[in-house]
Amino acid sequence: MSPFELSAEHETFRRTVRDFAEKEVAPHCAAWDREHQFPLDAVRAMGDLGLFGLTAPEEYGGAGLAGDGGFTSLCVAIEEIGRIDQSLGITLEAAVGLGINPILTFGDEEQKRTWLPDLVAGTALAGFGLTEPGAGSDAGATRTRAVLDDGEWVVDGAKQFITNSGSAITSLVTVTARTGEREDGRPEISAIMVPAGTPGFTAEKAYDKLGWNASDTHPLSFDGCRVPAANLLGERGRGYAQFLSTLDDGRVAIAALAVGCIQACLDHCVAYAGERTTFGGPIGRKQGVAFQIADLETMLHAARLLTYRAAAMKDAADAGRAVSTKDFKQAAAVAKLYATESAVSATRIATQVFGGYGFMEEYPVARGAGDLYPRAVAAPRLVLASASPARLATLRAAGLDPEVVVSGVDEEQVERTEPADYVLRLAQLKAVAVAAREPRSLVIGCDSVLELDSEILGKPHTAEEATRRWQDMRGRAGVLHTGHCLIDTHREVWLARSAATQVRFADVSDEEIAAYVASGEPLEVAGAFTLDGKGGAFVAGITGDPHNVVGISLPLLRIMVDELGFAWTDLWA
Amino acid sequence: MKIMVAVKRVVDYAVKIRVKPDKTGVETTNVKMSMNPFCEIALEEALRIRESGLAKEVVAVSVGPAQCTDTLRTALAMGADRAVHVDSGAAHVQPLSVAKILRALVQAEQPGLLILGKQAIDDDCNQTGQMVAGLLQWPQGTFASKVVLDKEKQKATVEREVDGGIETICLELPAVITTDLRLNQPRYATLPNIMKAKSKVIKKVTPEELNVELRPDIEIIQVTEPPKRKAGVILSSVDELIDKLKNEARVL
Repeated sequence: MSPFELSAEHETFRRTVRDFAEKEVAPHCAAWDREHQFPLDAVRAMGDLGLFGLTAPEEYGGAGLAGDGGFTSLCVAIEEIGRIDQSLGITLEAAVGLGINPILTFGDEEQKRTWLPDLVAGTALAGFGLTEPGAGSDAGATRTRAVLDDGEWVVDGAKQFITNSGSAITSLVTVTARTGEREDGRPEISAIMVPAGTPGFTAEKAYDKLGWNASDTHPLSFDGCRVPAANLLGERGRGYAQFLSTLDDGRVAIAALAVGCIQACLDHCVAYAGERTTFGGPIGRKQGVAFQIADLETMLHAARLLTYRAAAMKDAADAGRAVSTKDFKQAAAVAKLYATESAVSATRIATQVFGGYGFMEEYPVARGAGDLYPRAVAAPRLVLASASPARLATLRAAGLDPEVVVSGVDEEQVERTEPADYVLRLAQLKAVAVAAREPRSLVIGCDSVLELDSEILGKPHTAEEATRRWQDMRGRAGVLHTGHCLIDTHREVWLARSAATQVRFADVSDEEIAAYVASGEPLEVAGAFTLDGKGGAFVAGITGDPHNVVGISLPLLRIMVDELGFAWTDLWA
Repeated sequence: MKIMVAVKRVVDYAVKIRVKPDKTGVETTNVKMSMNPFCEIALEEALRIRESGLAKEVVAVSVGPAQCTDTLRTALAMGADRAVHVDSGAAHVQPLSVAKILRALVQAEQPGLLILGKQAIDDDCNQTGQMVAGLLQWPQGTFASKVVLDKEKQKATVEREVDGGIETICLELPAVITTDLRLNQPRYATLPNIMKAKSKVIKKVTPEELNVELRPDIEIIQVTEPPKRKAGVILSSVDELIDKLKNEARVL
């Protein structure tokens, strides 16, 4: 077995959790997300499968595998559940990492025997109340207070964003509270276990979050809440330090959750890119799509290797093998950073591959994107990345009012290939160059070329070139290709499409050509004419969208705007 | 009492099957393989009988190529006590050969019950259980949707799902039972059981050692995809329906 692979037992276990997730979670998770419903049955089923006990000793009902790959199995379970539903994945991760782990690590025998069996069985859930409205990473800012009075802790304060803290099966929340002052004047922070239902402890109404809608997250309030002094968890004054020491495991577990998300994005993209056809073939054959999916796969492998490397270090340390704490901490941080950032990219790529459908609720990528991205789609600021007056005039006439920002891209530098492909690349280059400087905008990049008998005609710069051009074109039909690239710089999504219109040129005389060239109409305009200018009379007819001939296809732009999730009519100034 | 369960490695039920271009069979390279769903049900039933105290040991057996050991590992992870792999190599094994092999294994192991899935989801033969019962001259309860054992009287009451409804029969042990869909819901292999399975034994034997010659009795001539379903047509009246049945479908 290669050191870079999980053991056969872990792979068998992966299959178990995957089968479970596909059969018991997949059919329902979209409904849970939509209805913001906490899935009690699924939590119980995960408990029956032993998922909450993977890192707990047998005496509390756990698998008893600490040091025998138990932590890696937990990561595998979180990954596979997260692959199907990120909400349920975080429920599992928080239940074990924040609920069970602190009690298991710092609790005394009495506390462990009282609370662990139900938590390990998955019939109860515990939360960890650290975060407050004014304090997250800054422990010193903790304002929740606990005062020892007549053998009881009296807790007052508020907590924010606490997972698993208010579900129907929540049994307790361990909260950090200021229990005094240290010699150096800094606050003494201790961890105190508060059972659900204790008078004075309220789990307020659950949040309406942007994502993870099926996960149970509440603000908590404590008002003269009394618990026995024996509910102190671990050492007095060591509450925050104790929590920090469990954070490294949490980082690896979150990394595993992110790996599940990336795997799901890849699976969905590969399936969709193979099925969805445009222009006669599956979109997976277009390099633009294929390259992005290749990026996805690369990120997946890297994230997975980093995650399970860190998990293996933890298991080795638990087995008594020499592993430096510093090395593990770094491995955990690296895994978490890379995996979670990659997961954000993965959902962005998936949304692009799915195009408009990426925003449709029925498609899983929408939930993924929502879990990681804001879904605001207010009317954006329009930017036209083109110097062409004709394009601006077309958009203005259609009711839009873009700002013009010239890209400065040198078209001569781009290699001439197939016309449709060439204009697409130029349009993308122009849009990208401008998008880099325009945050929170919808950037439109365009480029047009005239194709005559499979030859791309360059722009005439002199009167002689223009004259020769018209002599070439007269009496013939060409195709005007316009590439369009739309970039939403706020959500970092983009689309690129091209439109083609056939143009038939009238049989003009040499005198008419000379007069036209001398007339003062701009020569650099592609084809050296505009339909609306003097050259309009020299066009015998067109087949296709007329605006496309002038440099921008309004019908295509409307479709692209729609696919990006905006309403065309919202863009009317 | 010992229970023997025969399991088969097949293409996973969720996979979209593709017929090979040469029409000799279906594509199995790089395709996800799993334990036949009816075999999972058979194993689950055997485990429940053992857990109720009516049996001491569950032995899982499988006939097939080397990769069968994966399927047997899953059986062990679900809870079987040990396993036997009859290595048939690359040969395509057919029901009669499997039945002969199972007869040999039964004669060696002497179980009180042989439980199998009613059919495999790849060839849908529905023959092996019946054939091995015939070869062993054992009573058989096929398409079982309920099994109740009376250990003292050495009998099994089996409810069978048949076309007309449910038939209840009583078998004297030792007997062969084949399982139908509604008999039980198979368990997932939990991690502790997966770890315990590491130390369980898979014994390997060959058909030759069992004195069975793998001789194909069936020759597969061709495998083709079923015709694509055509879209339906919504008709406006009964008269139109009769007209189409008469003149287009020509069934009247």
